[in-house]
Amino acid sequence: MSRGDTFIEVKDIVKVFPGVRALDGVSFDIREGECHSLCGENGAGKSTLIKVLTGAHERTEGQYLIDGNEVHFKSTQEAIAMGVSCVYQELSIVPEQSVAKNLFIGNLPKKNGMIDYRKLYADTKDILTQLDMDIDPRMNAGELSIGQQQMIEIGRALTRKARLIIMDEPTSSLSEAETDKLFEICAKLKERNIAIVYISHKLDEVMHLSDRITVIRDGKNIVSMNKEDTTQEELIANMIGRSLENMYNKEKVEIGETVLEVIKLSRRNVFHDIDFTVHKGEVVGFFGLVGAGRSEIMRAVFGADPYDSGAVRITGEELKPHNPALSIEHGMAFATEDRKKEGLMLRLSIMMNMTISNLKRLSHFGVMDKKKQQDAAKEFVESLRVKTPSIAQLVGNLSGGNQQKVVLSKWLMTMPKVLIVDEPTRGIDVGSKAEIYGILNELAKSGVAIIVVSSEIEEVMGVSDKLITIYEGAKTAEFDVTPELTREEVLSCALGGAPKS
Amino acid sequence: MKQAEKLPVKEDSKVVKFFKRNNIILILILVYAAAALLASPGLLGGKKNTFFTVSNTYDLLTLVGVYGILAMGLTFVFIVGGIDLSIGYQVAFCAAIFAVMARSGVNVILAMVITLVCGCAVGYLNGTIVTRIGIPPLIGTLAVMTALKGIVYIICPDSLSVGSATLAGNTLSAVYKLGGAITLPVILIVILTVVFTIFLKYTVTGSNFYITGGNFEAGMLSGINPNRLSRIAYTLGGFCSALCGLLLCFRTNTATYNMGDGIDITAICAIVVGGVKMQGGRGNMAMCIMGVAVIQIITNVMNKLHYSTAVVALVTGIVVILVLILDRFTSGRDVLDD
Amino acid sequence: MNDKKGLKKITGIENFGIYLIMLAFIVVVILIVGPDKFLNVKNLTSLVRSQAVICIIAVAATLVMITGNIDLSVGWMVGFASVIAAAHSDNAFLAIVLPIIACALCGALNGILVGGLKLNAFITTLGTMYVFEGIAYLYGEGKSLSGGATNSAILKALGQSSILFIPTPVWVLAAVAVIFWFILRKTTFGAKIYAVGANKTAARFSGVSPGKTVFLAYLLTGCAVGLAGSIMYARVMSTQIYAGSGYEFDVLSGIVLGGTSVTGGKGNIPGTVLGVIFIGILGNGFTLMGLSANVQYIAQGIILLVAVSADIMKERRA
Repeated sequence: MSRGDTFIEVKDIVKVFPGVRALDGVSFDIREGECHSLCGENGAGKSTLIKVLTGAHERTEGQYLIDGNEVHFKSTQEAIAMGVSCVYQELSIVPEQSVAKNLFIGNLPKKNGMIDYRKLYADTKDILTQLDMDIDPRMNAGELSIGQQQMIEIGRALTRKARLIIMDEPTSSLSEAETDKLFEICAKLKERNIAIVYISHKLDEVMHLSDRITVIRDGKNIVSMNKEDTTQEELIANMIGRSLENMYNKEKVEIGETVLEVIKLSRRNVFHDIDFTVHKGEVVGFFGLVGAGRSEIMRAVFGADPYDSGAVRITGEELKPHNPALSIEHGMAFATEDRKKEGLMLRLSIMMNMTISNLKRLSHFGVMDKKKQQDAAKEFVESLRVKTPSIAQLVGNLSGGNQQKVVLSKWLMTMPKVLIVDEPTRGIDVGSKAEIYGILNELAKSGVAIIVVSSEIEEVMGVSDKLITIYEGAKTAEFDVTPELTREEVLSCALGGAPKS
Repeated sequence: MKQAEKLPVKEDSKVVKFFKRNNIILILILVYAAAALLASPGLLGGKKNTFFTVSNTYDLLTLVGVYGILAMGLTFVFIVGGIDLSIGYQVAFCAAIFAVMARSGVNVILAMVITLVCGCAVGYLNGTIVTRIGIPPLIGTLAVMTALKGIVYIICPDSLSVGSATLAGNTLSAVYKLGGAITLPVILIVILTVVFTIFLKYTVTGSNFYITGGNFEAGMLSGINPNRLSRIAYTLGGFCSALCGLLLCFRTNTATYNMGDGIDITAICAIVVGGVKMQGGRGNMAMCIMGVAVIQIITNVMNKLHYSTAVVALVTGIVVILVLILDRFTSGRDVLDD
Repeated sequence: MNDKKGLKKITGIENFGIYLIMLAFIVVVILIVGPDKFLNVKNLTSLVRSQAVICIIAVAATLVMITGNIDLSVGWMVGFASVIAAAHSDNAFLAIVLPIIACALCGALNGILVGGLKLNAFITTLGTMYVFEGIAYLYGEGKSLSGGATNSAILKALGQSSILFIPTPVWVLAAVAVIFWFILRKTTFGAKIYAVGANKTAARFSGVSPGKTVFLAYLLTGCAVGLAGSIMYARVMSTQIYAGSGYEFDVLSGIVLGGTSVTGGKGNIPGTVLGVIFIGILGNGFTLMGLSANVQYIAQGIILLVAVSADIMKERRA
């Protein structure tokens, strides 16, 4: 087994779930010590493919070869034993346990039937050195930063003598410095002949790190190529299968008086001195890398998180004491980034979800007007084209795009003056994306002030009139979106640079 | 430009951290000191301090022994993130079974072994219901509790005397008392604390209990079979209940149908006061024993001062709630964040 | 649009499987006992009368369960209420209003701790259970707990009379059940209860205050428990301080049999009533069969397991 030899090969993998063909004939190979990136839009089949590779799912058809021998994994355990490990998007750290035990979970060194702590801590030190981490092996893993916890996960793969480490969106919650650190470690792993499958929607990272790149779309692999032979633009074209132009259909809207004013908003260690205003009919984009504090700022503006100083005003009136209920009363609406955790009640019906922020309007003296409630829900199901047999359907049974429409319906029903949408198109297929941009356009035309938070630069530039960049909890620049504004300029400000003028 | 992330975060020193995590040590010292002080003649005590005496300390140790064993079983269940509401009736059930066997002349050692096996079996049943069917532990063990209640009432409608005239009865109560601080419960609790502590810290199975309760998903992904570990924990819980049942039976030479009433709730409160987390993943035998000690000291001192059970209950409840509130505000979590 | 129909829509019950199991069991019991022995007015009224107190408590505690919390202190709370009723048995007004006020305060304490301070509901209400036990004893010790000659006639009527052949406590239960059903299904507060139980964070982001909602659920439960305490005393015109101890588990069993989820966001009032009455029928049937009441506990435990497993299996398939 030397560098460059084929380690894993998958041929024509098909995975069928009831009613869905999640993978429809994927073939690619992974060589020893290479970094192979998988790119594709959400829902393209990347996660399913990983689950097949790691033994979490069994394939329906096709071949899966390791060192030329066909394997049939029944559990993640079997895959781990063959050297295939995965660092999951949702961290599987046990917070109340020591770093050492977290590293060697399921694999503790033993002597005479007892845990050999001396060896455990020595081995841990060894792994930590390999990862360039200077922490106490006895420390609780819960006290580490997210980035350090991620490293522990990678370390865990090392303790299992992994030959392939799959990293699923590893940088999605890392700071810039932590991301750089991760890349250094990846380079070291490659030197040790460990292969990496890297999955990320951040194409600059993919281009930086990969030796080869495979693009997946609609459950099929579209193309595999060497990094040198491609460009980001080509990748994007391959991923979406058509050109991005015209998806946003931004229309010119008359911009009215100031609706939302945020003044010197600060929260210790999270963000500071955030100033901005949003006007009637205006779309303000917030761009920054994940972890820059964009969502935290919005949560504070909405009153869901506390802030230490500063003020939030709607049409001149300060919101105090600030909480979500008061914000909603004053016409603010907030479609959060994490739909399942903060936006929806999955066990309840579409009707309940859509009307929960409108109870006052749909009731008399605290008694619900069922007729009004149903009519309101039906109206929005129709106007936003939510695909469902009934408004009594549980939201948990809907697709991501339809769930997002339920969230938007909930907020549109409150007839907001200000609508904040945080990552409005995350986890949504291309078709629904265009629909959601359409809805935002309509709203702007009808005079709603809109804030769009996004980590996708095309999106934020495509929908906004004004653009604000956030870096490490501070506002770094404010641009008017004109055809002359370049992505590079925006990106450099989001990375901490100062605006040109 | 100022960078929000780089602002210095106030770090607790190691000592502060330790005591925040193990506030039970301070609580225990405080409660014991308060008890000894309040019971002194100048304050609430009568002519002399009946709490702060050698013989009462021996009694107290014995009580901690008996109820500590039960609480240790529950500690295992808590660590894997479960709960067992049936332990009270497990105690009564095991005591009743033992009494029935001892009365019908079964060899005492054999009867004890069978009783312990029965305890393990009930614990395993609980574990199976929770892990294989997937019933929430609260409901699953409530069902087992209800069924056990029926069984206990049938086996032991009132009380069953093992009979002090029998050889078994004599020997057992003699062994139970032994003399001075050395009673059977005290010996057992010392041995079990050591054994269980080693089990939790030095064996892979015990160590993985924490993974099961701390992050079930992580356990699944790393192949430690958390469901199996949960069953083991529930089984150990059953074993400890059986042991507690035997001890209670030895103490008075009788088994009564209601001997487990209330001690389950006391055990839950005690280990929570001790700092064992109900959500799983945190706790150890030392915390458990100290928690039991706190509750027993409160009960004991108030009995000595001739307060009614009412006041004892009231104070116990208030202590439990205060400890919860204390945890809430020292855990450093954002109060707004659910 | 195909909206929920008929029974489902009115009751809010989503899944009838659990009730079918209970029904099948009842049919078996009736067949063994003999329909004439079981299905006569006298037996049925005594059956429902005996379950009325627990049922009222369970109906109220269903609210707390749907918010994703639990109230284990109801047992001692109802005992406390009955003692207050006993102490004021010469004045019907006081014997009804004072227990309600006292238990409302108890409920408010639970509500502040669980809703306001966000403490773990299970352990907190175990703690307050001790507190209420203590208070009940401190208040009740030395007081006469059976009113004797001084009993108010109205209070007696509340516990022992019948209106239209149906015992008054059952009428009270019906009223309480309808009120709580109305609160849950028809009011904005009910919608908030479901929302908080289904997803606390999402509810907060939607402008619902989880703390306030949970507090009110506990407070209302307290009020209903107070009323149940008065009835508990009035039924036999005497009580014990510990009369309600252990009720918390019967209440919990009834609620769970009624299809309410322990994790919150799912549950309904008619189901709880059925669940509690079912437990009553079980006991009644076993007594009529000439079996000891103890066998009932074994059966109750097994049925709880079977019913909940069936529910889980069904959800897993879906």
